[in-house]
Amino acid sequence: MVGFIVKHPVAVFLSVLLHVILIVLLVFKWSDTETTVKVAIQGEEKPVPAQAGEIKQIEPLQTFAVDATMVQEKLQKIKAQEEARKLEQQMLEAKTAQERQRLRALQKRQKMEQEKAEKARKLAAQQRAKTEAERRKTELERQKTEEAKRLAKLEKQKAESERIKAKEAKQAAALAEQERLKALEKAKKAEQIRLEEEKRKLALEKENAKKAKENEALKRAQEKARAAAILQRQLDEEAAAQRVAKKRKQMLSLRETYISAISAKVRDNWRTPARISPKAQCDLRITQTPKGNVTSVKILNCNEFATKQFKEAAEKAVYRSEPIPAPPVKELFERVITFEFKP
Amino acid sequence: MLMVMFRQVVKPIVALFSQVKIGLTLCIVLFSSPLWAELTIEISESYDNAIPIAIVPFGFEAAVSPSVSEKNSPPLSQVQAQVPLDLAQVISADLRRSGQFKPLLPSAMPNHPHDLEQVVFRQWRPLDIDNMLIGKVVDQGNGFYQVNMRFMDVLRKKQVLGKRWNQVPKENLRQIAHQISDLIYEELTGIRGAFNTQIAYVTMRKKGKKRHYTLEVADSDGFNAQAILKSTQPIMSPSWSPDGKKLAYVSFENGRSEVFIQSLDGVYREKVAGFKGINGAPAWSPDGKKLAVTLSKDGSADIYIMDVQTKKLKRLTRKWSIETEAIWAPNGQSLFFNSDRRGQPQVFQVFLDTLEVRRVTFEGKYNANPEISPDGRYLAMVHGQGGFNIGLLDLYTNEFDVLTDTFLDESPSFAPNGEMILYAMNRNGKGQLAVVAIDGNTSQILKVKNGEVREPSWGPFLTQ
Repeated sequence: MVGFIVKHPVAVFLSVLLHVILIVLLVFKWSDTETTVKVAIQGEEKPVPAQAGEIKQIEPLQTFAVDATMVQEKLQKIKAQEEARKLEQQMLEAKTAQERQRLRALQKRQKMEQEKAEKARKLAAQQRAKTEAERRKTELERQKTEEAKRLAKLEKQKAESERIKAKEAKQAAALAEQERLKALEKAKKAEQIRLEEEKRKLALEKENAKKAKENEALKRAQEKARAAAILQRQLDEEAAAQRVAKKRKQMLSLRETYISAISAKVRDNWRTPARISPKAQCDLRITQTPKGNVTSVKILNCNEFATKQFKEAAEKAVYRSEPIPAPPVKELFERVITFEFKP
Repeated sequence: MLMVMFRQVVKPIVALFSQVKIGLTLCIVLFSSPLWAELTIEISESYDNAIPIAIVPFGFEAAVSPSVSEKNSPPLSQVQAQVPLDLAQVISADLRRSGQFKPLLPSAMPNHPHDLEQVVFRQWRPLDIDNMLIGKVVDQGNGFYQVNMRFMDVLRKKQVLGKRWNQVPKENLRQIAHQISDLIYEELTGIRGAFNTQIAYVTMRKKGKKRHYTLEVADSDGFNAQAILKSTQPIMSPSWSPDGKKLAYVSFENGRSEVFIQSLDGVYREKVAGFKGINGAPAWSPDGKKLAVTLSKDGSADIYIMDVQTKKLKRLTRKWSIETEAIWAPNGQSLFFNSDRRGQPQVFQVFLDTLEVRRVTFEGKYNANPEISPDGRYLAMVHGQGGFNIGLLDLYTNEFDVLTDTFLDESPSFAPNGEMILYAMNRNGKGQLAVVAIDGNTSQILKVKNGEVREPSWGPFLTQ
């Protein structure tokens, strides 16, 4: 049975679902009988069409009132009619009373019938529920057993697979062990080789290190020597540059002194009877011999205040300054010297 | 105070009254008359940094006449060998007088070259000179001479000036010397020299109770003085015509002030203003065609302009106050004059086109007798502040300076180059002349023996 279920789970499920639906439909049908009863109760209220007939009777009266022209006649007629109607009414009233009585009786009977039906129905329902419950109970039990069967089968399958698995694992473990052992062996071998290699390497390294050390020491010594040499050279160079710069600076300052000495001497020798603007200014280019004798004087770049008398007096001042002051050091001598002159 | 304020105008009148009873003596001296009282010049101050210069005595070459070769004529050649004038001395004196040069004594010179090839420059260098003048006078016979000059630059060892004059009469040699001074001065200073110019002035000598006034004209160095007019009555305010050939002046010869114009040679003389009242302070216009004069014929003293040719008068000022001592601006478009319209004499300027008048001097309470420099820049005047001195107003900058420290200075007159001012002053109670440079750096005194000298006026450049 369980095997069947396991084999056809969809079919089983569909059959179960069908059963459930059937059960539900059965229950629904039962409750549907109830609504049917309710509908019957509504259908019992049928006096409404009788009321409608009563209203229809009034309508011809209204029509009559419109047609009457001969009042008297009509009044009579109406009176008679009224009377007739009164009579009719009375009869009608009696009829309605009778009817009412009849209706009441009918109602009573109906009620009783209803109660009776109710009772019967309830009973039937109880009966039906009972049977249904029983049926369901059996079904459930069947299902239970089926389920148990299925479970047992499942258990069996599980155990089987586990057994296979365990077997497989065992085999694998054995294999792995074998493998491990193999690897271990290999590793051992490798380790040995490695150790040997290492040993060899170490020795080599040691030797190398030793060599390197020696080399390093040598190199360092060489480096040191070279650095020292470079430093020395740099120092020498720097010193030389400094010496040159110092000398240059010295020379420049000496040259400045030289030029200003010349300019001062020319200024000292400046004299003129002419009225000269204090703003007058020219450049003087003196060409001299090494002994300081003036060979020529050129007056250049004069401003607007420099008159002919100023220029001539400046030129004369240069000649009067002979010998032109000698430079403080020989190499500073310049044959042509130009400087700005203002008195 | 009254005397001070009005002294330029009232003084002649006072003089007039004091002398009116004395018999008039008047003598117009002609050009040919002998030299009169000589001015002597004394340099009182000079520049500290006057420049050494060598003016080498001129060489002289006697005329080579056929008679020289004859043995019996040495006395004649000896006479001819005499140098007629030491030109170097005249030139040295000129340059020294300027205050700007210090001429070397001839005895301090290594030698006396007078030709270019005789100059050895290195012999002159140690003497600290920049320039030297050499030259010679050649007797051309018949009292005429040739003058050669070379002006050398000792430092640059070259000649910078050279000139020759031919057929110079003996009496003109002095003028040639002044011309050489002018050339040197202009070469070294850039300013035209004013050595070859003349000055006019009035001397006064007392003979007993009589005073003798003489209007004289001399070279700027005081030499060659010639009397133009002699009078026992005051002569005042000589004014040179721009061409230097005539003088206008005020003479009291007729007992009152009158304005005359006279040529230097004495040939021409004319009274141009003899109106009632004051006739004074003549001043030539720059073109020589008009004369500004002070006249009081219409009441108070006012400035009039007279056309020299037609004698027509144009009244320039119309004031109750005294307007006098007019001078012409160099452009001839305005006049400066002295007026006491503000209560004290100050210098005003009147423009001829608009007759607009503006006050020019504001320094002190007394500024009179204005004189303008030839370039129109400076106004010299008698400035009263405690005493009376020569003040100089720079019209460009409005700077005012008192130039002199002498006593009772008056009548300033510019040299034609504007560098010096000639003026009258009083020393030891005697009137003398003095010259001051416009920068106040140098001054000299001109005086006459046994007399006083006043009313100086520096003449124009003589056309060469």
